[in-house]
Amino acid sequence: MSGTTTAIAGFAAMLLLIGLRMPVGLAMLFTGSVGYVSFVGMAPFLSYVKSTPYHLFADYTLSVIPLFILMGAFAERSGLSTDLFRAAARAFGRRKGGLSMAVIGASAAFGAICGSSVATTATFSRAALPELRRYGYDPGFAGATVAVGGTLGILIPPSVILVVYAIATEQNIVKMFQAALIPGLIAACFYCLVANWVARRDPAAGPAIESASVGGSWRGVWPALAVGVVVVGGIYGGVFTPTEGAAVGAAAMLLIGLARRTLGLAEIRTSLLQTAETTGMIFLILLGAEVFNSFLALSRLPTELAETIAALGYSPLAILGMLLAVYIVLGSVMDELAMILLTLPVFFPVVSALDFGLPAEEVAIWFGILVLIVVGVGLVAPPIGLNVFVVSALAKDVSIISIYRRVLPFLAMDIIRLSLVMAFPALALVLVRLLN
Amino acid sequence: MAVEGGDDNGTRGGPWLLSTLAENLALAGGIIIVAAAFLVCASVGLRWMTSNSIPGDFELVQIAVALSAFAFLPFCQLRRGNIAVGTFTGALPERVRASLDALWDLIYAAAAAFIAWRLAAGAAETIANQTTTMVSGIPIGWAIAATSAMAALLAVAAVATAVQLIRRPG
Repeated sequence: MSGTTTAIAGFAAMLLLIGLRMPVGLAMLFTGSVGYVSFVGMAPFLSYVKSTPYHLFADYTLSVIPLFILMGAFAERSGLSTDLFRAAARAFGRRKGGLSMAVIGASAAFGAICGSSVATTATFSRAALPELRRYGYDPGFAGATVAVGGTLGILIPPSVILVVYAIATEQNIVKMFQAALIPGLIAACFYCLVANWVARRDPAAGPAIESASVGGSWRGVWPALAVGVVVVGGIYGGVFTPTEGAAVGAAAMLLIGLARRTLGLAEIRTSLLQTAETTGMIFLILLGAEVFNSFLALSRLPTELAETIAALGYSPLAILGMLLAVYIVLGSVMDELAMILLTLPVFFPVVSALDFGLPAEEVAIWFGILVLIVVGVGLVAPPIGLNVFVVSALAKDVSIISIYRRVLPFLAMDIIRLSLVMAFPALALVLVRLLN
Repeated sequence: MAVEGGDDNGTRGGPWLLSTLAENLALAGGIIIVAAAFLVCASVGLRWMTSNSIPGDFELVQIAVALSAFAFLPFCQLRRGNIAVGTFTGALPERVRASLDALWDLIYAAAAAFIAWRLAAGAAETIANQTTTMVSGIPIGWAIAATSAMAALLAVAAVATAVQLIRRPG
């Protein structure tokens, strides 16, 4: 078998195993190992495994992942989301659909502290959903706002999945963070518009409320928001590296939680275990991806595929559109993080070989933002929108179907936003250009 | 595996001793990450005041990430935290799905045991060569040895989850 055939066989075997419920990280590790041995034999593989698992993880850049997860876990456990929501509800509540807008605004702010969209969704399912329903919001509409609000954390820095993209494609994390901000804020504004539009058309779904009755204030939330601003601003301005920002953020969130007396020993313990589980999950996939990518690199499949596709002569935008469509399909059945690490070794060289009239680094950054927008779509789109499942699991009487029905207008807005960023790469790149 | 500890074999996260061990290891890993966070903060603070950071701080962070990564994995396995795609097997009978999962657990156990064995070899070599980190001179071999031991615990945890799936009635 030629190298390319072996690689394709390896890919097919891996997808089959994943389809048969093998954990994604293990499937990559397993097929990658078999493929590696088939190319270079057992002895080089034995010495590869002697050092790789340690040295892959003994990496300064990688420490950003557990640190941001820890920061988010502390923020989640210290009840910050409730305060953020109450404060936002006081500001927006008197508008039609105002409480939904408050959820979106609070989720965006929380996304600046917590890097995980599922965590954001879970915390607002607990903190905001019961309040929305108490004020007579349609349960499906309320659930949909929490689910789409959760996706904002993917783009708004710090975002764990953004860090993973940067590490996988060897891009500068700081520049990725800069590029993601404007598309993330656009998303928040678009979602607010949709929430307001829905509530105007169907006033019973999202009635305006008496703002003062929520009883929130900004006093409780500003320290945590300040931490978010200092961390992200400090990283943008080069005051500290992403790892340093994450460390400062995690330590500060712990101290704020202690000072507010909302983080006790039990909550700290839960935060640590939550960090352990999420980080362990991500690191197993990183290890699998490392081995699988070494196998793919030996096969030369990515380079050959990139050359073949570039030689076909389709317009670069059409190819980009096709790749993003593949992500939408994959995202409907697969976890987003695994999907990114699975496809990037093949897709990234393809995109890099296309000519968009931009420098290579800008193409890489822009593509990353597009992929993350699509990932956000995958988190709420039928049939498997993880965020929708999280909401429905935490609010047992709100059916998945009723949430999906209300998610649709938000999804339409996502497609518009995706097209905008595709048509105008500057939306992602302008901040990178200004700050560097 | 012999049934020990009386009636406790119904525990979700594997045998009691194993789940306690994995949970405490995960907590230790979390504490290492918290410690790394404060170390980096101290280093940033020191850099602002004296324009010198703590020498070798990044080496400590590197070791901390590697140690905590392996400390998290057994706990993650016992909690079934590793993501898998259930879309295409939803129609299969419960028993078949459980057997598939048990099979993957056993493969995971074999992979972890293999990694533990190779890391042990790597650790022995590194200790013999007395390789240390560049700035602070920490011997890396012992850190690799610790990750090898934790990979071995991961293998045990994966076997335990497989046994649990096979034993479970229905």
